[in-house]
Amino acid sequence: MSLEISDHPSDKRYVEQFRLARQLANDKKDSSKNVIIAFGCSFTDPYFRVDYSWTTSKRGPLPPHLSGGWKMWPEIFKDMLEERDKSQYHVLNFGRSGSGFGHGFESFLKVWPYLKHRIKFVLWGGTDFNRFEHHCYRMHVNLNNRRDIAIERTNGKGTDYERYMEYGVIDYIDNINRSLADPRVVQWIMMKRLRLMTFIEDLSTSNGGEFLYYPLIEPFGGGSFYKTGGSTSPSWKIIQKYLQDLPFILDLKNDKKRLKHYVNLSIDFSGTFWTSWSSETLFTGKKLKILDNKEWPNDDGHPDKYGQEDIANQFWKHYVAHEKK
Amino acid sequence: MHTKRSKSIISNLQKVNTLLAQDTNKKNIIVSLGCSMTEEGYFLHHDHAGDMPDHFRGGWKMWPEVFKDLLEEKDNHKYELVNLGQSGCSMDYCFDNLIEVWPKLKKRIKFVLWGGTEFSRFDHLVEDYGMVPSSRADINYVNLSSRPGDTNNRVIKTSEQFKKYGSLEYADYINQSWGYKTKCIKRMNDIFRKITFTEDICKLNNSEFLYYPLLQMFVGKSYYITGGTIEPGIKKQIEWLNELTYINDISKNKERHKHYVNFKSGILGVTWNTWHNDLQLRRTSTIPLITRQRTEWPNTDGHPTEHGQVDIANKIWSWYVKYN
Repeated sequence: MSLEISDHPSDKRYVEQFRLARQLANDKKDSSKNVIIAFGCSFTDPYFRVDYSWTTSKRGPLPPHLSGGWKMWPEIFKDMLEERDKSQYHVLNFGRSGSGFGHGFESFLKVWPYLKHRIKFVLWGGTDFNRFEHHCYRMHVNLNNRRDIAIERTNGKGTDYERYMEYGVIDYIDNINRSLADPRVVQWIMMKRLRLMTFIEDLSTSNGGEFLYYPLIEPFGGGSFYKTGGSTSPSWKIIQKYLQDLPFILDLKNDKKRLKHYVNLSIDFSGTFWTSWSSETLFTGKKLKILDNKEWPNDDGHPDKYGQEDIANQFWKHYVAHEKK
Repeated sequence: MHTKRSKSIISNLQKVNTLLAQDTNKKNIIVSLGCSMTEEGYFLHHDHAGDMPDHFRGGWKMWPEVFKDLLEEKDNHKYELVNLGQSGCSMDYCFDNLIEVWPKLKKRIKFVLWGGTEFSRFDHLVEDYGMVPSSRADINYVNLSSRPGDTNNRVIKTSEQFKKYGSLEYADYINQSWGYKTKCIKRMNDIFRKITFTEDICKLNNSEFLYYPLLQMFVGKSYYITGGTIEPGIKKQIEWLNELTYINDISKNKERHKHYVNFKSGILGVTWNTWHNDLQLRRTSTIPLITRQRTEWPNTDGHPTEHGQVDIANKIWSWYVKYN
């Protein structure tokens, strides 16, 4: 078994998870189906730390205990599962800051063929739909880095401008952001991403495993792009409108049992609604983000320790509620 | 829906719905993936073939259909073909097409056939449009300079498209990258991860999987005019292929060779000729296998002729039969 392990310097931190995956895949003594694999962005990243290059804080950098290092939601979910089942699970967390669906799917492709006999849960924390992987260089590209607010903060360039310029993607990003004004384009991207989820759901369930997907942030949460010739990202309300006619939703309507795989997605007579954890927190006024710390005012929107617990709880509640259906 | 998919893909996806509506559990569907060398009803475009008469441009059976005929004759029962090939598409696009149909169709899929294309191609994130960076190769500019004032030239048209979709700099950066081993290896790993994954899901699903590289991973062109460099030659590509974990795994496990047409593994390592490479070794053939071999209509196009399509199908068929 030669599960691929990257030797690229930017992957260094994340190699540990792949080593553990290789070890579990090759374990001759234990073949139990007790592995949880998790995917996502910084909301899931096991090595998450506040990034001071774009976080501002009036009191200076946040102290270490407020900057990360707490258990992330896949680990907390594992604890809940272990407590209930009274047996041991292993969690492999492939979440990675700044990454999009492409990177998550790449990690999935790496581990699945070798580990599928041991995978019990595939957990996916959904991120922005318009992040992508560079074609020939190991780099996540985030379209939101060119949003107006980022351009204003960086003297008209945007976050990561030099890097993006060097790797030839600035025009490409701006072109994509401009096209987001077209509803068909937005629906097209949504369809592509959700098609990927349907595939992973199908593979997981065919393999006797569980699959859970929960959008942790809004699929197009970028804000406005007027300074680069674009308009605004579709709002929560518009996304709900677009959702109604997607083939993905129509398929779910025909097979409502599949709703058990999609946390916070509701389909009823009034329509289809799917709110991300981030928006839900905003709507309900829950204080679960790093920026909610009043002693250390800052603008980091990532979940804090309690936010991570809350995400895990949402996953868990959804799983338990649908388990026996 | 926003899409620039070929008519062929659209009609084949509609066919999937028809097949699903049939009340049957027969495992008799062949799904084929690939580029213009695979696309159903592919017709040589004016940009490739100038004023060539229509009967030289296309309209013949493509290799997946020829393969289906061979299979039907052998098994004496009917198979259904879902051909998801699309001209200009990338390897990622091929894989995405499979992902789209797999959940619904898998129980009925007996074969997944994949005709490999260039690794450098990519899909525009929102345009659903296959980008072919190699169309910016020096050779196309050389051809252009020999035809001054020709605004219909392929390199001009594709460059305009690249520009329109904001991907000109991106395409040129990509072409620069092929001068570096690490970037080529990254791309090779990205693609072989998808190919071997497809093999794995097919195996689990009791489906047959056959992959045949029809074109080289990198077609060996130079890009100096657009600030790039030169793509690795065949020798280098084979050398790097031997460094990939995915390839070494196949090499070590002889049972897996059956999935990879033309794959050879010996004491000196792995060699893997594409269908196009093999043509160079068969120069004495009097039958035109690719369009530019048509002596009655001189041209520079490398797409398979009707004989070429049969030849590809025969190669895949004999590989399949050899291992079964």
